[in-house]
Amino acid sequence: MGRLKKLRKANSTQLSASFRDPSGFLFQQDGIIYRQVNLVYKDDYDHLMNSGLYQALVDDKLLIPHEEVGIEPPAPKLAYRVIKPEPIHFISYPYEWCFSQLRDAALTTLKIQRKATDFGMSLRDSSAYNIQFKNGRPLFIDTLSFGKYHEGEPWVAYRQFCQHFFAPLALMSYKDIRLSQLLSIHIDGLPLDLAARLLPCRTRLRFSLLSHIHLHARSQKHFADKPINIGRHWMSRYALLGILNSLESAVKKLKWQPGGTEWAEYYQDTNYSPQAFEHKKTIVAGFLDRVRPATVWDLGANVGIFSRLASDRGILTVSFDVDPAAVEKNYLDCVARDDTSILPLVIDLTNPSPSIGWENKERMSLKERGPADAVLALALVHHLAISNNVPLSRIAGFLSDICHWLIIEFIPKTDSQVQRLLATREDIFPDYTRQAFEQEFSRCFTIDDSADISESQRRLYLMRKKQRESR
Amino acid sequence: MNRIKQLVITLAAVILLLLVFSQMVYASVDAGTFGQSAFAYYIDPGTGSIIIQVLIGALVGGVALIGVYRMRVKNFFTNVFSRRRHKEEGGETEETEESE
Repeated sequence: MGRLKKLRKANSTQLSASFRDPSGFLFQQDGIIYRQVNLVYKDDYDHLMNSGLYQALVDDKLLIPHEEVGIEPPAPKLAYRVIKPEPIHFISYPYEWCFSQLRDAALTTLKIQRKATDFGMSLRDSSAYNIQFKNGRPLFIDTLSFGKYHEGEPWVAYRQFCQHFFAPLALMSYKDIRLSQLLSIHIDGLPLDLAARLLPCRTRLRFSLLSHIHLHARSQKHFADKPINIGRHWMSRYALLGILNSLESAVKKLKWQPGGTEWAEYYQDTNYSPQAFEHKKTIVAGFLDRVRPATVWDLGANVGIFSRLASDRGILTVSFDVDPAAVEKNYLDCVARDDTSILPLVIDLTNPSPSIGWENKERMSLKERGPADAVLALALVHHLAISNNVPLSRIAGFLSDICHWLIIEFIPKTDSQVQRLLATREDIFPDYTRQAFEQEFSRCFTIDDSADISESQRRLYLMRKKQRESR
Repeated sequence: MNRIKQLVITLAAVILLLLVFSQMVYASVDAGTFGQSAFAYYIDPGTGSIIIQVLIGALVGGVALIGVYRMRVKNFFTNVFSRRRHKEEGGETEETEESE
């Protein structure tokens, strides 16, 4: 390859999550992520690229596009190619997705497997971590997960699909939406015996759940530690397509709505007037126009009304909330509006996603994925300070770790929303005052501007992180 | 004559279906081999998962096949009948034209 320009860089580091697949690995060089394709994967890679599968998947926005680049691979003896995949603005994990995000990710994986079969390939790995959200839609990011399909071969990633997608979705749909959090404990997907025990008995009456979860779990237990030669188990293409059809219709049938209510009624819980609400939007929009951030994290975003002020300006926005129902509504609205700049995620700020996996380095903590250019913290501080007893100084400290600019709202104790939080507990927060708030935040931030929201007791601030704090 | 033809077609379809199914059912139990490189399955597919998949596959694949063949047989008969009707109608018209 004459176009190859050898650039040996000592500063390339292998990504800590990329170690399982001998076909290649991800590495970072000068802040850019590349993937080394190893010689052992040469035939499959060439088949992926030359059979038309890569182009078909990229055209359908199912697979991340990449370009082959001529930089020196970090492990030259093993290397066949180095590719540069399109960057993902924010890496998110299945335990941070709402129901419909996990469902869409599952359907995307099945669509890819179906298409791969058409081109003589099959997914060897259907981990949910291979899906990321880009431009608002799920996208498969592991280019090296495709292996040649041999007629008669079963789907090797079937177990993984059931554990990473089908079982958690079934539990969220039939039992409790919060069970999605089991995915953060079980990094290789939910053990099917656990899912089978947690699911209600009536799920045994549905063929898809009976077969793919209950009988599957039994079969796993029965054949545990027994060796298998996959090549000796023949499965026709019809049977493989039958499995994919069955999984697809089963996933599509899984539904979830919060408490049986209608979405329209779910979020009307504000205590201020429409005029105050509009005024708040105007102030936030004005602050955003002044700062012009490239990325925004909206903390406590609810259904994402204020996130849309950022996304409407083309700002890449991550919209966090602790309530899975709010995030679900936010996501469904984004899909309906074809909003490509917002990524809604379920995050509990009082216990944000930790770094997990091997060496605690496989999946990043929330903080490691920052900082954002700007953080919106609207109607949030009182929840952290009063419901979770976090001192104002520690709230300021945390926020200064994850942003350069901060648009924050302070709601005084006299406000009915704060009164509601105090209704069931003793007021042990003498320091929860506007003066103390400004004083504590001034240690980490410079207050550039502030404005009262009309017809309310609330105040909005635009703050800039102090230079000595910057990294 | 036509009745005998129909009977033969129906019998052929049934035999074909039986053949396909028996082949698939035997095949799911029987051994078959295909090439596989050493690194191909870096993820453990799980013995139990493969076995249950082959069994479910035989069942749902069978259902899918029935669907496909039912449609094909249905389409075949629809075509045969519509062709005959068309021919009869066409014949009548031709005769009328000729008589005129």
